Amino acid sequence: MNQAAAVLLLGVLCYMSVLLAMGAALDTRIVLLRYWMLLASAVFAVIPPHVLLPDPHVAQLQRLNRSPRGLLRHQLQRWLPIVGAALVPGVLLALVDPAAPLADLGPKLTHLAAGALVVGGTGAYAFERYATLGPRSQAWQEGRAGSGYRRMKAHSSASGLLAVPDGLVPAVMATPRIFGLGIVMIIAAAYLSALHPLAVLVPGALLCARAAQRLAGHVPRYDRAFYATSAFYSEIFRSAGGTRVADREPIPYDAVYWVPHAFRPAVWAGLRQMDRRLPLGRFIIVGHVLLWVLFFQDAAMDAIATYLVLFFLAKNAAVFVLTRAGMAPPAFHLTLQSPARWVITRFFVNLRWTLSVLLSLLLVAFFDSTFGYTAALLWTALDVLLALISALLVTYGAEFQYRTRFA
Amino acid sequence: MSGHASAGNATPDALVVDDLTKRYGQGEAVIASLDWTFGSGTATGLIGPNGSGKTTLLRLLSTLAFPTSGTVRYGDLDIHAHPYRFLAHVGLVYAEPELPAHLSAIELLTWILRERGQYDEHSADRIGELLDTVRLDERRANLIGTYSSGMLQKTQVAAALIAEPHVLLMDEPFRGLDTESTAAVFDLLNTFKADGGLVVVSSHDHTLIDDLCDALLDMRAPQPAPVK
Repeated sequence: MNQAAAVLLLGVLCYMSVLLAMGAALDTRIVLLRYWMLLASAVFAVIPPHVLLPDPHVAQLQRLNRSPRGLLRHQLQRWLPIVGAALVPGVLLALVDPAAPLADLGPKLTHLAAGALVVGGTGAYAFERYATLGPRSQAWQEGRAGSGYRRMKAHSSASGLLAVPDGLVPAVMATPRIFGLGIVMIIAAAYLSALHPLAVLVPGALLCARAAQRLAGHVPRYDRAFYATSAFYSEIFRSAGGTRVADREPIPYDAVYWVPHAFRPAVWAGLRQMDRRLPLGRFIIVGHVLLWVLFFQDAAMDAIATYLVLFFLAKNAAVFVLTRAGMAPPAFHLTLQSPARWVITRFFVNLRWTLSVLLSLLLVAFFDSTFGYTAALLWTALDVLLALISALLVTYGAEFQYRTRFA
Repeated sequence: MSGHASAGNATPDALVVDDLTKRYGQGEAVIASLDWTFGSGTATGLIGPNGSGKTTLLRLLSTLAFPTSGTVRYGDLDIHAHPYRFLAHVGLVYAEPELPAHLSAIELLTWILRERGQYDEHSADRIGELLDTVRLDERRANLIGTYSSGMLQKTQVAAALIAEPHVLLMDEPFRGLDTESTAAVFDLLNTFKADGGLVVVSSHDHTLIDDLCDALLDMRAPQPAPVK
């Protein structure tokens, strides 16, 4: 189901890339390619641990006893298709031009290559950061590192922003570092392109070289990095051996007061599980920041519309996490309530962040009269619709299919 | 525990646990300052009630978990610093049989031998003999995804032994096995031990592994203690 959601998301992104690229002038394409790089950097800043860790094949890898190089190759084989998929929209933005496919081909290819280097380099850098984080994360989790942070957390009133297990703090800190690096590369490439047409390639090439160099440095000892990182995420995500649920402040039952009484227990249980597996708050914050950046930069309305659709799709598709076997044993779920009620439950789970969407869009409308309050309400309605559709799809893939199989 | 308790002599290829502590998060230690030597030619049973740390210790010994402090050495090798070199000597039976569903047991064992560079002209016969020994019947050529829980367990045991390891780490290996298969696996482990192999096996029921084991380690937290 998660693969289907990823393919759907990529399909929508590609479709919108084609729409945006149709008839676009070279300057417009260059700007669109920068937005693409920005979006890819934001995605790479967040997703590696969620798609790579803990490695689901670790038992088999131990049986086969893959070498350090083999383990690195194994993880790269899981990561590179994602980086490759992220390149597709860039290719479409740069090259789809039915009216004049060969016009400005040289500059188009140059800027595409520059973008691919930045996206690929950010992807490689993000992989290197996250895939080797295990020993440091475990030290934080066990209180052997991060004492300053814990003191700050104890005295901070904004503890909500820090409501992750201590061991995940290094990963949280990696997020702005990776995203920030992506932004710096994009700005540097834009600046250098004014100096010489090919200079636009330099930042991405340097980033790729640096990421490759860092990865190469890990090869001889990658077995330790792999097993330590997988072990840490196994403990933190699967609670192997009894990780204490009190490591983070879970959502209290009263916090779901806005959910109808009949669905409140299942929504509460779902949100608690989801928070432990996929802290979506980080993604939502990054999403809103990107939205404001787009408006601040006076981006074309097509680009903003594309971004909002993607943001809503990703935000709502995250509910698939709740249908994984560890969170949704179907036989148990069907003893609790019917598949139709699970659709409604997951719909409410998806609505958790909708108020933040509405407020963010109203804020934009307040400062940007061309957007308007009506548009803010319509876009929020689209988010609600996608919340319902994604709840329906993931429940169809889980409880509906299970009941059909054993009916 | 002060000083080194032991289930055998500290030969160069013993598994030596030194001042090992493991905690999850910042809570109480699940295992605290454990010193122990698992010697060659011995079997050590990890016993204790559910949640007493048996699986945690096995995860530590198999590099699926990393210690909060302390070391585990295999000869001169710090196993958590060099998992690949250590795992070359190890066969594993996991608590949850995570096996590739779209391969047969024969194909799985073939893959393991080829991957580890141990496949030769005698391997097919050896695979057949091992599967005979663990009493995996003619369905060994069927896809693993179709196996019963007992068949999965037999496949796991065979997968652990096929590469002729020196160390066997087994988490509840008799779970799901019928009486005859349990006896067959016991025979296999006794032979393995007699040939100089090192076995660490967990069970929530110590009567099941009492005969096999030279030592029993009661894992009731936080201070595991030998009871045999």
